[in-house]
Amino acid sequence: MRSLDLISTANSNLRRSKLRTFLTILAISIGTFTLALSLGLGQGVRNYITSQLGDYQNVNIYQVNKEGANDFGGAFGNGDPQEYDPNKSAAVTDFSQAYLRPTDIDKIQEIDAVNEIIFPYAPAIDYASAPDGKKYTVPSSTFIPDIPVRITAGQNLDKNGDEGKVTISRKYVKLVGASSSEDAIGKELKITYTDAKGQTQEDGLIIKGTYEPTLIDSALTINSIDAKRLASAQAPTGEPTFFAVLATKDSSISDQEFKNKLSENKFSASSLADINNTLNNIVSGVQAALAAFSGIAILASVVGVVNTLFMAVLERTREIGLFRALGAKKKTIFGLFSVEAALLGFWGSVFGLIGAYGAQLAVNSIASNTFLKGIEGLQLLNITPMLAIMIVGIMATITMVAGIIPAFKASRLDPIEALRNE
Amino acid sequence: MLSIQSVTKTYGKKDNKFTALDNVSADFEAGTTNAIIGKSGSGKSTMLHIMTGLDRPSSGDIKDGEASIFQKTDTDKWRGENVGIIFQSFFLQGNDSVVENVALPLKLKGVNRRARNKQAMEALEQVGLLDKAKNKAKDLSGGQKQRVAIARALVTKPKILVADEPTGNLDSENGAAVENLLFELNQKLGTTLLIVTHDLDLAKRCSRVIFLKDGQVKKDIAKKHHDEGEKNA
Ligand SMILES: Nc1ncnc2c1ncn2[C@@H]1O[C@H](COP(=O)(O)OP(=O)(O)O)[C@@H](O)[C@H]1O
Ligand SMILES: [Mg+2]
Repeated sequence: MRSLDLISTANSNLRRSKLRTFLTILAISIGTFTLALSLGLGQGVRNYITSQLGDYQNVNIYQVNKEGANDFGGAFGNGDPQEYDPNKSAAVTDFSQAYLRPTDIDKIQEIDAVNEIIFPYAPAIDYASAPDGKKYTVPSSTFIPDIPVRITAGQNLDKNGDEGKVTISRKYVKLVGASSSEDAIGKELKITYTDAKGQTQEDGLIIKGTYEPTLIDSALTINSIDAKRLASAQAPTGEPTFFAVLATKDSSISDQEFKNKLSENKFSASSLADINNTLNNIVSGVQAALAAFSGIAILASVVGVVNTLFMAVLERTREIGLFRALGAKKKTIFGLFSVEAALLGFWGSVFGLIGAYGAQLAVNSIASNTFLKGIEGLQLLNITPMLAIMIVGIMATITMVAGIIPAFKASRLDPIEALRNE
Repeated sequence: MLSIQSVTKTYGKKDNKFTALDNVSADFEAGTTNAIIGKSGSGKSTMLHIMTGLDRPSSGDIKDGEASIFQKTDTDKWRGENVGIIFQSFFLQGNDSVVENVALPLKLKGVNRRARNKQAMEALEQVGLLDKAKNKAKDLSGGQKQRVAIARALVTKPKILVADEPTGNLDSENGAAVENLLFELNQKLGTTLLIVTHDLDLAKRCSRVIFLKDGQVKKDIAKKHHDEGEKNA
């Protein structure tokens, strides 16, 4: 039999028992729908992370803190007892232990691989006062050179300069009464903070530029001179303390060697790229879990395929005998039922994907009007054509494999038994 | 020439053993008309199934010319190319059109749609059903259905046409028409006819009649140009 005839015959055989075929295909399409959505969501979220953190992939900035400072598990004492290991830093049981003392910072500075230390002053600003009299909270951070910023208007801050200046998220321009990024440049942002003595202080900073914020950007980025001044005013000792400092790596050394060097000195270092990787790993993990659930749905639908085909073989026993009597080979009978099985997977996955694309359109339009607003061209769900083709191929293969036993049974039917009159 | 050589067919084992065919031998010359006659259960269908390679003998062999049809690489292929089979109960695909039914053996053989439809129409012309080509098979009368089945058996231009009680499900008028058609095709195309029947009148029209009883050949009568001669008493 020609392949095209084989396919069209198998396809028209599907139409003989319409309800049964419909239900089988429905089951497969539900499995495919969930599979496509979970894979598409993973792809979309990964794209989102890349859009947010992709710029930082090669930035030479490491966050350095004491080893174990992030490991609070032991601190609460509700885990299982752990044996003491002199090579391992003790888990932090008192938050003050996590702070870097001046001697710690000196130690970091002495490590050859460390080029430069940047202090991430984090002054706490109570609120910013907008011209209309409203008060807004403003998460703020210190300007760190070398980290890419997506400037939308004005200019970025300079290294070690720009006293009295800030850059601000473009979403915050109304805090200076501006209606656009351009409009905000040169305007003064009025801030209020509480100093170490508990006194309320006011200050003003001139906006030098606005930026498109990513996941890790604050609303306000203060030049390092003012950031240090504000943070010092807030520190009880007059000296700001740090949970972590930022360090740049010497270019002669690799990422891993750098981390090892710091580890030898009981410090741990993580780069911005590490955040990206960690997030991607989490997404992949969640995606795998979701895909596993849809795998169960697909498995159930495959049982339906086997059942459907066994029933079809039973119903068409006489026809199979006739085909054999008319010169059809066992191989042809096997092929007819295998292709029929594959077609169940094909149509089921095509309909499931149509549903998934519909869901994708709906979800993406809701997402881009809400939390993805302003991030152009980013889809939360991203079922790529490549992914779709892969899913159809995989489903058709799975159902074809599921059809092997019924198809084999059909091919082994005794044509004479099949052709008995009664 | 198709020859049956000492074919025995047994069903079951030991105590339940049943011999459906008992050491049957017969040669069928090309272009002849042959009837196999016997009561129900005498082994006629079994013989026909083995002769067409649909079933295998317990012992003995079937030869097409010099070669065993079972030793050929592919018995199914041999049957598809050399034998057309007609069944008592037609076995048409009711929901398919008449022409699709007739073209089915060619489709199974891998002939393209155009060529097979052309050949199917030719076969339909031979059975006088050209005007029904587009009808659904299930809408035809019994006699027409059997003629479609004959066209389907013919479409591969087989050397041998095998019919298992072809008129068994038909009234006498339609039965006669189908009989006439079979003999006409033998005349026109030189196809060897092998008709299984329990209708003595039909058997008498054949040049050779084999009487089966309890799986054994009881009589094998061949007539030559209207003189009746008896082989094997
Ligand atoms: N698969 C089988 N198992 C056991 N006995 C069978 C089987 N097929 C046929 N027979 C027996 O073989 C005998 C001959 O059957 P068959 O060739 O169909 O007879 P006919 O066509 O002459 O009526 C019958 O008695 C039938 O019951
Ligand atoms: Mg019979």
